Amino acid sequence: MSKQQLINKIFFSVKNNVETPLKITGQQLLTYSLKDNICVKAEDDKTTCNSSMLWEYKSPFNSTIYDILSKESNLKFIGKTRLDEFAMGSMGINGPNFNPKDVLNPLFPDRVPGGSSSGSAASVSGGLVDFSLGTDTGGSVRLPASWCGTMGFKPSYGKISRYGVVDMAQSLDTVGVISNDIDKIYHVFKLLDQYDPKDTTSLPEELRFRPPQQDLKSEWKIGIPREICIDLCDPIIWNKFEETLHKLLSVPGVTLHPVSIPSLKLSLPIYYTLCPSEVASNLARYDGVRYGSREKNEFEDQDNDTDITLFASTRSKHFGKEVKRRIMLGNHTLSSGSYQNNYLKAQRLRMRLIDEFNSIFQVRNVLMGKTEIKTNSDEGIDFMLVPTSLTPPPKMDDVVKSQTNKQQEENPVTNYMNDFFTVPMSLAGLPTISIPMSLKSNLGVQIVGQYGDDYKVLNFAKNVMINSNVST
Amino acid sequence: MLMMIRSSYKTRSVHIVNCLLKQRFYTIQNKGARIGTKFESKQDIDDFLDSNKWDGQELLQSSTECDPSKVPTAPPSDEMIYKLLKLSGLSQKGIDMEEIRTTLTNQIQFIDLLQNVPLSEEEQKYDTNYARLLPRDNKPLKYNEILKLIETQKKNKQGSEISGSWNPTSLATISVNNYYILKKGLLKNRN
Repeated sequence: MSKQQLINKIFFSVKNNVETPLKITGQQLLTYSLKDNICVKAEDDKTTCNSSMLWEYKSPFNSTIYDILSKESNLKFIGKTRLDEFAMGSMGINGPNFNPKDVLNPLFPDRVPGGSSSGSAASVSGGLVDFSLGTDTGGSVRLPASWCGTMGFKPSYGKISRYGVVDMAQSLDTVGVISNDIDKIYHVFKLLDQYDPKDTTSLPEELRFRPPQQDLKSEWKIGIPREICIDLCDPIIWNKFEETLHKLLSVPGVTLHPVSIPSLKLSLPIYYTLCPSEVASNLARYDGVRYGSREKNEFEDQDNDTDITLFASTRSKHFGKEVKRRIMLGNHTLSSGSYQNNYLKAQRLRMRLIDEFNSIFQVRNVLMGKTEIKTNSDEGIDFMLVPTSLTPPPKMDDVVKSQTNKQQEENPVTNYMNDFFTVPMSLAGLPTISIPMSLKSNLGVQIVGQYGDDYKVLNFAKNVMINSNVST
Repeated sequence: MLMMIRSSYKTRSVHIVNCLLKQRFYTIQNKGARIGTKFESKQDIDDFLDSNKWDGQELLQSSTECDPSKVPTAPPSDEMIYKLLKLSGLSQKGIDMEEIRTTLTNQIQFIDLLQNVPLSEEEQKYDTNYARLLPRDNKPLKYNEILKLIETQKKNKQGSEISGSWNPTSLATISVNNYYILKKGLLKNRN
């Protein structure tokens, strides 16, 4: 496949040529792409979220992350990439007028790229850019990175500004970095890791500091949660994970421990209670009146209109199927009959999960302050290791077939299971990187650290998992 | 007979391994999470991963299939579906009612699993705002502290929008003289 064909399948818009000089004034020039839910202000550039609703939308402002990157002379923006509509999906196939030929996993062309940051991961694994920024709400950076055979880093929630990133679920949305090179991920994260007064969820300055010696340890305790031993995990993934743990066992300074986090099993129902509720709330703004697409006949007066809601036909036409499903589920959860039993219950169980994570990590969670009582902290672990996905990437043909199967189509829950290994870290906001379990493999493993331990996670990934050949 | 003995031997071995695994978790941390003694060998790891396998169908099956004493989740009625469509700002025209009902039933059954999970008294008192990953250790500001903060507050040059720098109605598909248009009928029917 030619480079131009690759670009056509992966990018929505291209600002600069991918064929750029490797160096400028002695510095290495790095190219990057952005997921198309990250706003860039430009006369001719759109931020579509791969939705018919925002198909012509031009942002009047830049996202903070684009502003930071565009000030760096050695970074060159190439363009905006594909995604699942409004970042909802795990296959990379949700969006208007979906055609399987338009979606690509460059290293494994018969497979889906994964989602929702499908184009971000594909632009890196296809060698079109050095790094890409995506968004990760329940695994949307880590899963496509894994299925495209590259690395995806989801930092601690609140570390990177979300200003100018289109909201999906604001208590979970996190900007993440995808690259084939761990040093580039480190470099880009360091640039973006700063407090932003424009983002009300940005982590305050005083909570960002971590003693540097914490990040450069030479002895590590790794926890393997027993709740990840789910029988739905494909044996190919499971065997490879076992092999990775065997290799780690022989690395000097590393000890592996079983851990138990009982609420981890409940993560998916918690996530699919809270996330659609936030989706329903955030996407209520799309009425076609102030911005976004507008269904023309809605402008006219219709005497026999059964839709009392003014903008109903606009929203019905311009939102895709999965988006509408999540909005309806979210409104069910938030409605008076369900709020107490579902929404508040899920919030409380999310707090329980966070507390359970806190109790097994050696380091205190910076968000807890004095509220966290730590006992036996020296016995806590530094990281957890968990596979990234339940299965290798499915074949595109099989996914297309399943869309025509009425029974499968009406049960989105089976697709939600793809997020089983990634959602717990999103709920707790933990820094997590997915790296291939072997070179150019589409089977990933996640390294998970305590909240705020982002650099420690990246150092461990580089110095132990990659340099000690555990994941090669 | 030989098969029975073998089978019984196997069951007993699994039981012994399970007992040992239970002992493995020596550190009883708060909140139910636990850490165990380190793995000494590859076999240790394999045993742990094999013996803790659990049935993923527990998540996919409805709560009543897991616990027959529970009242099954009723499929949403037509009335409820119309209500949800309205709340969602979606059209009630040309919908496939049965498809929506089946999808919603599957989704609701999935999240209803949480209803079977008991909460402790302490958990029922949680301030659920902190589920949103905010600093938990906050102290209320005193009046004088608020005044001091106002006095020392600096204007953020980057944070503020320059008034008149862009025309909001320019983003609307339909607008007239810098006004948004909702519906022609609203204008027509006004006396």
